[in-house]
Amino acid sequence: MAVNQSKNKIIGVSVPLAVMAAWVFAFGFLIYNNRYYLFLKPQFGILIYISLFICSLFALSFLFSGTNHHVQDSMIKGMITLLPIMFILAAGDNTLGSYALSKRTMAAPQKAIQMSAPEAIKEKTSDPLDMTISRLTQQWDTYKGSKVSVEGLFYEPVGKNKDMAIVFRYLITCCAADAQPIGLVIKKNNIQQIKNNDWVRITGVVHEETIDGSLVIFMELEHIEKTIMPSKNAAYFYN
Amino acid sequence: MKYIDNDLKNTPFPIAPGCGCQPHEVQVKAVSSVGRNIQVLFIVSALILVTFHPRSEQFITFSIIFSSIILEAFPFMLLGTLLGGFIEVFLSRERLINLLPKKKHDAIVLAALLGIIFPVCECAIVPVVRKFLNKGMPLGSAVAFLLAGPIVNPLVFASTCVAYSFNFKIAVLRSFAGFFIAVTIGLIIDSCLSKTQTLIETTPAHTCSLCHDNANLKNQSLRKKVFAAFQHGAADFYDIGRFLIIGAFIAAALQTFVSRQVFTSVLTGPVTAIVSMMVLAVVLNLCSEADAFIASSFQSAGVPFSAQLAFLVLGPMLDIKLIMMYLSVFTKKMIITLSSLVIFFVFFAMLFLEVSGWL
Repeated sequence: MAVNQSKNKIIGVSVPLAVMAAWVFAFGFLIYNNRYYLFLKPQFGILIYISLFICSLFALSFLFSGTNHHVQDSMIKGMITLLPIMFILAAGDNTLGSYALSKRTMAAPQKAIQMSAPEAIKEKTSDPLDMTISRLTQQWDTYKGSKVSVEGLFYEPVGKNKDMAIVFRYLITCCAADAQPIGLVIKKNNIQQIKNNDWVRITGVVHEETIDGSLVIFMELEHIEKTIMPSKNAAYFYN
Repeated sequence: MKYIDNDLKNTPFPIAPGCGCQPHEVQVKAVSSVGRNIQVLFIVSALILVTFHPRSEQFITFSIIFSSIILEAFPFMLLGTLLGGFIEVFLSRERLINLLPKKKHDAIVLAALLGIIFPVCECAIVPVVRKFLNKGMPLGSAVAFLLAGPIVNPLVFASTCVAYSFNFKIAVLRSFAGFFIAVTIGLIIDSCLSKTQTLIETTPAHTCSLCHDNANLKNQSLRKKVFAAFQHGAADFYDIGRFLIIGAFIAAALQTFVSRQVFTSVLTGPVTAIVSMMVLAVVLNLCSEADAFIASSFQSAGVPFSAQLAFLVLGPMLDIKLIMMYLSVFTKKMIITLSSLVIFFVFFAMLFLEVSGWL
């Protein structure tokens, strides 16, 4: 009986302590090299630091007090609490790609806000404007009809629009779960050796079109080339 | 003590004095065998998935979405449980009663407005409400705070304004709708259900030696009290974190494998649009500070404002991870009642707004 009580006491202290310690390491892992950028917007880094701090405090409190949990329940709670860490590791250095796009709807182009008139005029030059998909989408009426060059991930939809392709990135407000695809539609004539999720740079004149009832940015493609991934979280723009 | 007794008599809610803790010889009530089996099955399935699944794009997408929901929610939940720990140690029942208005209706209205000065999101609010209920907060007030808190808070108001290009009408309507629905449901729950019918039996999941004797607690140093607050917070987090994780897991699976076009394809009339957007709010499990950006993206698809508002009001009150987290506080009967009332009132409030032409 005494042995059982002692065993329960050890489990009551060690399991929650180990779980909280694992989370301390997980938050440390996410902070290292800014890995949390792959899941959250950079401004949320402060929350990761706070979490690391609170988890450390909780681990210490478990070290000195333990819990009164039923042993089996404590093990179950511990296992479940550890699960996300395994999936964080499994996600590796990847970002959302074309599969996520296939399950989401692309954001519509928006009217420009707070763009001064001289700047808007300056952007309408004959050379392709090198810009981001985010800027093009968010200040659409400034760039409508311009020749632009943008970089993004390549995606070939399957189904009725299979003569089209999309070059896209994601716009994140808080975390990757709310990521909204933003991008341009192109005709994929003569595009070969480019696969889904390859990084490409495309150049051409952009205008609006309605495809399947949705307003999208369409590019009259002049040039497309494969590029290297700019950075590990380059698929994301942060709102 | 006499003063406290008088106070207790004056309040319409019978609240016993004390801090809410049971003697620490009491073991935490074991999880029911059915609940335990479901959780074991969940662990085994998730472990098999993470260990043996080929690293396909679907799996990576699922892992990213699941991890993102958790990483976004965990900091708030940790803060919520820590705050709950401090409430447990530093706020006595008597003080809580003194802070609340004596009239039941006033207490509910005040609780629904608490979110304005107490800006917590839906992940942080559940552990706080759990502590408030343990402390003796009236059920109706707790429900009103739980439902309205994540909507009326200023951060959510600001993010809604930004998402809708400073169209204040949407943000104001969202706050008002959230407030009125929360107060209405708080009043109904308070009149129809008692705490014994609605709250699960909880006993402390820690060995805090300070809280079981108020006199003892009052005589302790601040350092010991703070440590006791950490103990409470840690135990609460360990106890209810799993509900968030299971909810996030289901939500991530739905976000990964179910196309959003399934929902948007039926957005033809106002009624179907409201229903679809309500289903989407429950499925997506978005933070109330981010959901306005998603809702506003449906404007281009011609989704009526009433349906967008339904998404904005329902999401912070009811989604999969919240339903799972409610399991740590409420009985199944209460969760079903609460969910039904929330769905009913949000739907008819939005339908009224649509028909009345206010939007």
